[in-house]
Amino acid sequence: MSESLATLIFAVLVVAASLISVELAISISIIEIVAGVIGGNFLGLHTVPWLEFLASLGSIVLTFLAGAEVDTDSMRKKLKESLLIGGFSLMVPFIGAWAFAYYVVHWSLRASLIAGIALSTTSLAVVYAVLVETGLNTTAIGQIIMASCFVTDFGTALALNVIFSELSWKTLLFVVLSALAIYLAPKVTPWLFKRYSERVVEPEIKFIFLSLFFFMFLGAFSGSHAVLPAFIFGLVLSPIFNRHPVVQRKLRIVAFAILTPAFFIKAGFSVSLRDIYLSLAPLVGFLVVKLVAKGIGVYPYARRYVPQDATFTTLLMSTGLTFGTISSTYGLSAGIINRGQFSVLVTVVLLSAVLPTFVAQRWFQPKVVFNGGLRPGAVTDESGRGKGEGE
Amino acid sequence: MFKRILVGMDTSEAAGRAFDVALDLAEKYGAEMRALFAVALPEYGATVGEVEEVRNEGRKIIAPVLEQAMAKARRKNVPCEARVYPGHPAETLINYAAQEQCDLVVVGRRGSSPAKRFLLGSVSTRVTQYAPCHVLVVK
Ligand SMILES: Nc1ncnc2c1ncn2[C@@H]1O[C@H](COP(=O)(O)OP(=O)(O)O)[C@@H](O)[C@H]1O
Ligand SMILES: [Mg+2]
Repeated sequence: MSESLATLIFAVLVVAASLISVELAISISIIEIVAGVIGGNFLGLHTVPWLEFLASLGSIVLTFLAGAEVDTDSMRKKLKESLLIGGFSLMVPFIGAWAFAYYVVHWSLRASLIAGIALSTTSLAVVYAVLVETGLNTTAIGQIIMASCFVTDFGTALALNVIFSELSWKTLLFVVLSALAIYLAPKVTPWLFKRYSERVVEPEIKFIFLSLFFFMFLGAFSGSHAVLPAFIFGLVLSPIFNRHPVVQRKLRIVAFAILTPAFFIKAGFSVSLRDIYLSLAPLVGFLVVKLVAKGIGVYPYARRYVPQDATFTTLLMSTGLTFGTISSTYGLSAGIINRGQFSVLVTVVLLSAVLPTFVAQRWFQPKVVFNGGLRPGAVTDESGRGKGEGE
Repeated sequence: MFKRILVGMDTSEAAGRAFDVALDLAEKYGAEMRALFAVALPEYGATVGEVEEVRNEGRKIIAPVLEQAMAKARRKNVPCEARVYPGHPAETLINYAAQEQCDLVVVGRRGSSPAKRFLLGSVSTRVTQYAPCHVLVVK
């Protein structure tokens, strides 16, 4: 297949996925992965160089957005709880999935570490939608759950960088220059956003991309990875971002229109259904390990800090999607895992986005309370809904 | 007979007809009205941004519809309040009716595409089955 034909089919998949997503109210990313799987396994599509590039940029942008979405206030308020829940929610599955990969299915040490990282993540976005629907996002419980997700995300980014970087002067340079950029960013951006965010030339969006390209360059140069600096960069910019919804929206438009589709469809391309079929037993094993390990890691602390909704919290913390896919993709492109291993990990990640959410909503959903502070004559939204501020 | 009537609103014509019927009933029975739109958030999202954007888009799309409906109610002196909540449409309508003691839910029929109905189920069918009160399906 020629590159231009592959590109055309890719574009058709992107559009079709977005229509389906809107119609069915299912996340675009899941549909994109599935579209990629179909394209790769049935339409004979394969990735092309420009798609590789967009996909890797997409993963960095996703990481940046994840950092920028952190609500630093609730993080600070619930630091102890979220460090405990988030920390154990990361560590126990990490050890579980690593051990299962290494000792049971005999993956290499490095491949097993990728498995550990990919299956220890928690998907904030999956969790967020459920919390918003139940009105819990504004309550103490919701804040603890979200802050714990941030901790887990951060841990994943940290693990990817620390475990797979070698100690050398290049890595040192990577650390120093990234830190410098991250230190300077909050000083430069408010001015940039204020002065330029209304311009159609979009210097401020380009500046963000420039920073991300800088981290990608440093990552490639030092044999490390841009995930951690991109996440921290997003984190330090998050308060500024929240004050500039216009910039936030523009960045989302660029990301959702071209970069995240490239990332997820490309991930789908690399999934081989044949390999999944041949590895059904390890696949189920990984899934069980992930869910059980999350239960062991999260439930005791959930019992202590969110006693009414401990099972619900545990199930939500068992979900994974974005960082699981990012970690697996990193493993594949760095040659640490092969296509078969990648297929297994991504499938487990996808299933872990869907299954625990479904069970949590179906059987453990806290009662939704509509306490409508009624405003006659006005179109009120969900602001009056929820269980109150908690503590 | 009816004191508080809940209408499931979306952007479809069917929902508009449902509102008109509900308004007529409310006027006759001296009932008050609630017009509710549920924004179905994307399940299993990859970014918080996606969820936020869908929520904002939902509010924006429905706002003129709700405003128009409320204006109609005002002209007939029927008290009517509009609500937008995130959540699954049928589930939200059912829960809301139960918690806010609505005694009638009015929904339209054929608002959704066949694909959607297959995967999400029909809102009117679900509401008819599970609502805690009377349900009127307007065709
Ligand atoms: N998001 C929504 N929020 C509130 N009510 C809705 C929503 N979607 C649909 N409804 C109500 O349910 C009716 C039927 O919708 P739908 O399920 O789309 O068609 P059908 O039940 O014929 O398959 C609509 O006319 C409207 O009254
Ligand atoms: Mg739901």
